[in-house]
Amino acid sequence: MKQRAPARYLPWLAVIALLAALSVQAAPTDRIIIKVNESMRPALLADGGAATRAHARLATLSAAAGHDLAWMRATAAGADVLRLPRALPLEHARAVAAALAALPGVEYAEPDLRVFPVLTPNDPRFAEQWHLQAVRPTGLINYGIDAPAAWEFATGDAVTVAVFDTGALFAHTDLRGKFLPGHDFISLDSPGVFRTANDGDGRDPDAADTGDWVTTAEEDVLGCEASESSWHGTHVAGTIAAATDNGVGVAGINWRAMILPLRVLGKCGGYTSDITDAMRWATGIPVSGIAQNPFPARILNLSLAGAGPCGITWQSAVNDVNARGAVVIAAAGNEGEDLASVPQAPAVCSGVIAVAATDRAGQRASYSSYGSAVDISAPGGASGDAILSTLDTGTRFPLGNSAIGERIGTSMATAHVSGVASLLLSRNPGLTRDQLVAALTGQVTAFPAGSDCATGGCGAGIVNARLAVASVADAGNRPVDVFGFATPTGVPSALPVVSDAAAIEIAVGVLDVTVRGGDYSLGCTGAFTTASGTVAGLTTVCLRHTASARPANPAATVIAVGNYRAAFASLTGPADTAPELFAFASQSDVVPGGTVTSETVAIAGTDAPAPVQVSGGEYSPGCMADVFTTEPGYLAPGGTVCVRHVASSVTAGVTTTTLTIGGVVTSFTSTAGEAPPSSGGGGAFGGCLLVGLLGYAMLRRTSARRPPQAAPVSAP
Amino acid sequence: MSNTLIGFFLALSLAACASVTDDSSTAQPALLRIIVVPVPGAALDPAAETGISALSRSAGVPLLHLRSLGGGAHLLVTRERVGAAAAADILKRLAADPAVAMVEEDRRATHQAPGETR
Repeated sequence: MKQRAPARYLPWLAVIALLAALSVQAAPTDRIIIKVNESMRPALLADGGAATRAHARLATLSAAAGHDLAWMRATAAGADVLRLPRALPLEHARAVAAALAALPGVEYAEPDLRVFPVLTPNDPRFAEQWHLQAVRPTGLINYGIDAPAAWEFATGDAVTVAVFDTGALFAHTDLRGKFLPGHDFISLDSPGVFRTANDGDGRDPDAADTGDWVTTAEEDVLGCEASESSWHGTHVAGTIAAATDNGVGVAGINWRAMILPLRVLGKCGGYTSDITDAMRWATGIPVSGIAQNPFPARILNLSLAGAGPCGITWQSAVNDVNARGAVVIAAAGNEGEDLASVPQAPAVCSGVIAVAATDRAGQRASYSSYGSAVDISAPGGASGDAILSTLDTGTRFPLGNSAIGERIGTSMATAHVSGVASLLLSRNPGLTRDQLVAALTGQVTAFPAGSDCATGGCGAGIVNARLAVASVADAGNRPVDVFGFATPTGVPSALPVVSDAAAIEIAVGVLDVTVRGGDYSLGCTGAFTTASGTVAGLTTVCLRHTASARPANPAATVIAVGNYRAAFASLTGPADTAPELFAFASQSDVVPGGTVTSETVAIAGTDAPAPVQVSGGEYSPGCMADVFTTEPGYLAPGGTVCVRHVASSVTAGVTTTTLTIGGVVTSFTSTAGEAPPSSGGGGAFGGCLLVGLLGYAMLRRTSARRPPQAAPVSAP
Repeated sequence: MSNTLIGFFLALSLAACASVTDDSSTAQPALLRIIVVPVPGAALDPAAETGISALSRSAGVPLLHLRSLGGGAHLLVTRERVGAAAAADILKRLAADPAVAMVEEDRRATHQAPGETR
């Protein structure tokens, strides 16, 4: 992955000049422009005559520069253009120019900057991402974050961004290679019950999003409103880190950031206890029962909120991760109320960057919570001007169709702030937490006059990628060019995977090399090491790791060369969710109208949560008496299941329940026998049923006597 | 018998059947998850049989220990579903236990993108 070559833009130069869209990019340059006294001119004099002792003068300049300089030409302004032996990163070229400028007789010296258009990535849907684009306070008003101008300074590197969400769809084509191995933190609701998790089990290293749909029938059990699956975590991940300039889908704010997916939200959200455990784990704090995270994050994106003040559980987690230098960036919430009267956690916790949402016109979005607890605003969109990012269109289970789609909310606003924060850490990994927060909240777009936000309640302003990135000193000490690695997919699980070779060129001196999540080989000799080292000059590097032990899951190695990090990610092959054939024994001579439960069968041969659907009865994962359900869900690998139904009330009547697990269909059949002699001992439930049926029968009898009425008209 | 009267009896019978688990008049009853931190140095260990029994007595309802959290905290859950009023009462009673340093509900958080459009 090289920076774009200028030749690629040549056909466009005329157009671009017309639009006056040229601007400066922090690309390496091999040229210095220098203005010296006439007596020091290194080649030609102003009158066109040859300078005397030109060679000695050039040698003096070369000595000061520390590089052999060659004279190229004189400029029309009486300056000279000198060429370095090779292109240097801008910060090195500036250092060379400064050394030259310190010489007596030198009026000025500066790098001959390569001029490019504003960096516009080729992602086909980028034009619709108003929220990433420049601020335009007049005309077609657009309060975006001005990412294209920020990308002139930094397009990012493989910094870790922890996303606490619904998990993610790792195989999305516009997020390929963007995931570190995360963790599913959603624990059981109560012993044996995994309704919130909706993947058939509790915590495990698989942060894949299995869907968070809630059916009408589940509303009461779960305590929230019915909804389709949101794919929320995938949308948030795309805003921060969608593959950019790849000719596919949308652009992300940081072109090379790596998402650490923490699955903490399932059906009806998630528990504070799970989210706060995940926060600690993501920053490298040990959490019992889980192997330590090799990719500690300093940016924690929490596009979530819960009603109520900041409890001790929330605050102590925020304090713990802040002490690790991490920044918690959280949604202000979508209540549309003042947080002082309708608090939302963790937004109102001390030490959290709370993010309100603005619309395209820079106004506070009507749904966005606000108040003095809000630190900053960012585009969250509104109907008609929503936020475009990566999605899926499955209403329940994922379809894996790599969709692009719209969402609005303070969730989306939060992701924009996290994306910009990640660009800042890419430009300068050494920023302290306070410096990071100061750059984010101190370098913002002012709210438009007359905005709800102009009088406060929406934080310092609207996050501005260009201003924030430009305000941060470039840490330098990077290879000449950015580099990266292709992402192999469908790799065998738990086996070593080796990357392709990437070229590294170090312009000056040596850079330190460290690696996480695997090992590396300088020169791609086949000899790999995890030990820190140094690198100089021109070489290649290969990375290696062990593929995920789980199907359709990522593994990654991140190498740091000086202040530049590059990631090699792999994705294991698709999951096998079709179990070996299983059967339920038919039952005959069952009590007519009684409840019949099958035997418990073990499900074998799956290696990931398998979708389950039932018709003509109910099923229970683990065959627990109180968790029978008619709703579709998942069965974890190695799980057991049973089904039940109400037998036919007619002697010899047959009742069938059909259970579909991972596409494998099995039936459970019962045949009613003779009705038992009346005993009167139906238990409390039977008694209730009897009263109910009696009442119903009387109701029907009365209704039947009445003439039919017109169907009621329902409200529109 | 009029329809209204039958409806009344029907409602009465169903209400009687439904009231087995519910003791609250408002929100849907649900399992209550509770985060508890024992007083440092106190003998209370919520992970132990005796500890959870003691806490159950304090709470007035049977509790289960789900797992230990960081920082000395423990995650508990009621064995039965409880209504909102009962939940508040349980939290108040646990807070009054001298062996308990901190107690709060393990509240839910949700994602903040409800206005979904495609």
